[in-house]
Amino acid sequence: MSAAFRPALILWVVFLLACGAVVTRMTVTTDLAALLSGSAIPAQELLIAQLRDGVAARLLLIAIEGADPETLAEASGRLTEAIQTSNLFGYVHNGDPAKLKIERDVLMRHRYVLSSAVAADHFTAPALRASLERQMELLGSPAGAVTKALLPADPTGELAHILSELSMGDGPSVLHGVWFSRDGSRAQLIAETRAAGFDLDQQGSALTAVRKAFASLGLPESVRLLISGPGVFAVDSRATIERDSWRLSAVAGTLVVGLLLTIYRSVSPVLLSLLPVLSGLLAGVAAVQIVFGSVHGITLGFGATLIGEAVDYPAYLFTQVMTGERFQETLSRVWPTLRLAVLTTVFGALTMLLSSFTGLSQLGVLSAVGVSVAGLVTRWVLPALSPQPMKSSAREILPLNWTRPLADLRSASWVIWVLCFGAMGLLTVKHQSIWDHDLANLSPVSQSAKDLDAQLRAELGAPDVRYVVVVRGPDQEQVLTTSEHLALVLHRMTQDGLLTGYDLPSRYLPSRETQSRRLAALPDRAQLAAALTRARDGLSFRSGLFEPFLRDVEQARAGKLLESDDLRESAFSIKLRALLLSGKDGWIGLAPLRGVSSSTAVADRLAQSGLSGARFLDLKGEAERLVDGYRRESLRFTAAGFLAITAVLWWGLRNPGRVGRVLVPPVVAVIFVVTILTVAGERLSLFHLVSLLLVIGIGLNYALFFDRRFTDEAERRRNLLSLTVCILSTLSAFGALAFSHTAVLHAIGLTVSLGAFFSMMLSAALVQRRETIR
Amino acid sequence: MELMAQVTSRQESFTETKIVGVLTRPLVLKGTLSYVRPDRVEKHVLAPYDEHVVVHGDQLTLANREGTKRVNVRSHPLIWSFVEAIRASLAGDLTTLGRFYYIDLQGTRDSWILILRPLDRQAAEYLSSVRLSGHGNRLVSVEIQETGGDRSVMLIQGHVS
Repeated sequence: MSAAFRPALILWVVFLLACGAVVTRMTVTTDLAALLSGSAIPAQELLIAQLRDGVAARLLLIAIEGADPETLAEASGRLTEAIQTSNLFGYVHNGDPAKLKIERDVLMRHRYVLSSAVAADHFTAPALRASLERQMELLGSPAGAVTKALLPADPTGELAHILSELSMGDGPSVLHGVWFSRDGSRAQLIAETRAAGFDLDQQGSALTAVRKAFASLGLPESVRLLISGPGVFAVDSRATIERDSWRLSAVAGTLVVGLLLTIYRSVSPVLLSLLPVLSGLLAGVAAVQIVFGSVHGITLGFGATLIGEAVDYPAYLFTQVMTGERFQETLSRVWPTLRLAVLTTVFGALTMLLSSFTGLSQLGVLSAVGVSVAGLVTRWVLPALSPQPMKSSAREILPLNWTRPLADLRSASWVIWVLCFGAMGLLTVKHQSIWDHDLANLSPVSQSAKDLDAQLRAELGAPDVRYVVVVRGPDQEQVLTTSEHLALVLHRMTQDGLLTGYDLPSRYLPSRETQSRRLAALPDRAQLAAALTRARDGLSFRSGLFEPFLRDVEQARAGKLLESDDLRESAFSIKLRALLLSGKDGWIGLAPLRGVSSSTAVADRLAQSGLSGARFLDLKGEAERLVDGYRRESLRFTAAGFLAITAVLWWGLRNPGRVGRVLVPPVVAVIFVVTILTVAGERLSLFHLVSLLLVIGIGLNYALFFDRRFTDEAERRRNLLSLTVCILSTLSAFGALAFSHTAVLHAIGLTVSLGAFFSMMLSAALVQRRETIR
Repeated sequence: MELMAQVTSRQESFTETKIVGVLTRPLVLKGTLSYVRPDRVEKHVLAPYDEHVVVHGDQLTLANREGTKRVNVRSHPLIWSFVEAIRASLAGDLTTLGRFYYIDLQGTRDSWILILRPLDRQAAEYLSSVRLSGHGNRLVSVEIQETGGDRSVMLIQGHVS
C-alpha cells in the first residue's frame, strides 16, 4: 500500500464507522405532511397541521361487502364490538340507533343550553300554549311514536329543534339499523384511532386490529373488508415505497453490477466501483439524520439516484486505465475533469438546501454530501485499495465508435436547434398544462384507493370539504362567540342560495356567554308551573304529565355550563375537535361550507359582514397555492443551482466558449424531456423538477468528458468507453425506477433516463471532437 | 288478496281515532287516503289540522304548516314496517308483507281479516299488531295496537267523489 494514501484510508474507515453509528439510530418518517413543514402563511400552516394530526387524519372509513344486507348488518354490529375491544380506537360507530342513544342523551341532558330557541319569552303561557298545540298535532302524525316518548320531559320540543339544526344534509343511509351505502351493497362503519395520524406504527397496528377483528368473525369467503382513510393511505404508501425501493434497488443494482462485470471481466473493479456509491449513500443519509433529526422515506428513495451518478465516477477512472498503469497515474489525467463533474453536481445540489420544502432540502443534503464523499473516495480511497498496476484493460462491449456517426452529424446540428426551438414553442403554447397543481398527486396513493375513499365518504355524507370559514381568536370563548355571529351570516347566505349548508363549532359547544344567557331565560319552578297550567287549559293532556319537564328546567337552571368534556363519549366530540382547535397562538374555529354556488360571492359577503377574525378559505385552492409556491421556489433554486454550476465551470474551464459548449447538451436535453413529458400528458411535479437538476448534473459530466482533449486515438477510445459504461449504468438504474408503481419514483426514473439519453446523444453530436491530436 | 291486487288506484275518506296514554281524550283525525299502483300512498289529514303524508317508493314526505320534511323509509325500520302494513296490503303484495310480519289471514273473500305481527325484534318492542279488515277488494279498517297500550283505529268510509 502506498504510504501517501494510508491516512486517507484510515480516515475513510473511521468516517464510515461514524456514519454507520448515526445511520443505525436514524428515524425514518413517511408521511407526506412531514415534507411540507414551515409555511409562513397561516392558512397553509393550518392545512398542514390538519393533515398531520387533525381528527380527520385519525378517522378510518370501514365497509363490508359481498353478502346479503341482513348478513352484512349483523357482521357490522359484531365488527364494531370486536374493534372496540382492541382499545386502539377512541370511537367506533356503525349507525346502530342503540349507540346513537348516547348522542341523544347528551343533547337531551344539555338541551336548554344548546337550543337556540331558548329565550325569555319561550316559557310564557302563550308560547307554551303554541308548543303544546304543536305537540298535539305531532302525536297524530307519523312522528307520533317519538313525540310520545319525549313529550313529558320536553314539551317545548328543544331536542327536535337541536336535531333539526344539527342535521347535515342527507345523513348516511340506514338499512337494518346500521349504516349502509345507498345501493345496499356495503355496510359502513367509522372508527377514530387513539393514535395521531402521523404515528404510522400505531396506525399500522390499528389497521391490523381491524383486519384481525374482521377475520375473527368467521364470515363467508365472499365477504370483503374495505378500509380507507388517511391512516390507510399513509401506511400503504410506506409499504409501497419500501417494497418498491427494495425491489427496484435490487433490480438496478443487479443490472449495474452485471454490466460492470461484463466490462471489467474481473470482480475486484466491480466491488471497488460500488465503494464510492455506498460510502456516499451512507454519509448522505447520516448527514440528513444529523441535520433534520429524521430521514424521509422519499429522500431514501432518492438515494437510488446516487447510484446513477456516483457509480459513474469509478467508471471514468477504471475504463481509462491503460494496461500496466496504476490508478494514481490514471487519476492525474482524469481527475481535473472528474473533479469538475463532482463539483458541478455538489453545487447544483447545495442550492436545494435553501428550499422550505423539507423533502427538497433533505435531498439537497443527501446529494451534496453523498456526491462529495463518492468523489473523495474515488480520488483518495480507490487508488489506496488497489495500488497494483492493472493487468488487463476493460472490454469494449459496444462498437467503440458508436458515437462517431453522431459527431459526423455536427454539420447538421441545425436540425437539433430547429427541434429545440420547436419544442420551446410547443412548451410556450402548452405552458398551462406543464405543471401539476394537485397536492394529492405528490402522494404515492393509487387512484383506485382515492376513488374508494371518495365513495365511502360520500356514502357517509362526509365528503371532503373544500370551502371553509376560519375563525381565529385569542381564546376558545372568543372563537365560539365569533362562530355564533357567523351562524347568522351563513344562515342568510343559505337563504340567498349561496350555499346549501354549513357546520359550526358553536353548534356543539355554544359560548359560555350564550349558554349563561339561555340559562338565565329559564323561569323558576313556580313561574313555569303557573304558565304551564294556563297553557294546557282546554287541552286533553293527562294531569301530572309534565312533571319531568318542570324538574329538568329546574335542574338546568341550577346546573353547570356545557364543557367540551361533557361531549366526550359522543360523536359530537369528534365533530367539535375537528372544528375547534387550539393553535400555536390562540384558538381556531372551522366552519365547513357545503354546496357553495359561488366562492367569490361567499367571500365578498363574509367580508361585508364586517366579522373580524373570520376568513373564507378555499382548501383546494390553498393546497394548490402551497404546491405552486414550493414549485416557484424550487424553480428559483434550480436557476440558482444552474448559476452555481456555471460559476464552477468557469472556474474549472476558464474559457467562456467551452463553458457554453458543455452547458448546451444538458440544457437542450432538459427542454426535450419536458416537451416529451408534456406531450405525453404527464404533469410535472416537484420530483420531476429535482430529477431535471440531476439530468443537468449527469448530462454535464458527459459533455465534460466529451470535451476532453486527447493525445492519441487510444485515449479517445478509452474516454468513449467510460461514457458508454456511464450511460448504460444510468439507463439501467433509472430505467428500473421508471417501472415503479410509486408516482414519485416513476417520475424520477423516467425523467432521468430520458434526460441522460438525450444528454449523451447531444453531447456526442455537439461537443465531441473529431480530431484526436492537437 | 288477489282482489286487492287488481285495483290500480283508489281514493277514499277516512276517520282515524287515536287513543294515546298521554291524553285524556282520543285524538280524531279526518281526511282522505289514496293509493296509486304500484307504490304511492297518500294520507291527507284535513281536520283538525292540515297535514300531507306521501310515501312514494322509498321517500316519505311530510308536509304541514311548518314546512316539508323528507325521509327515506329504509333508514327507519319502524316507519318502513308501518308504511308497508298499509301499502303492501293495498297492493295485495303478500311477499312484501311477509318480509316484515307474521301473517294471519282469516275469513272469506267477501269479508276478510288480515292480522300482522312484526318479525323484527326492534319493531316488536313497539308494535304488537296491525289488524286490517276488508270486503272483497275494499279495505275497511286498519287497527294498530302498540305494546305500550296505545291504539289507533282508522275507518275507511268509501270513495271520495
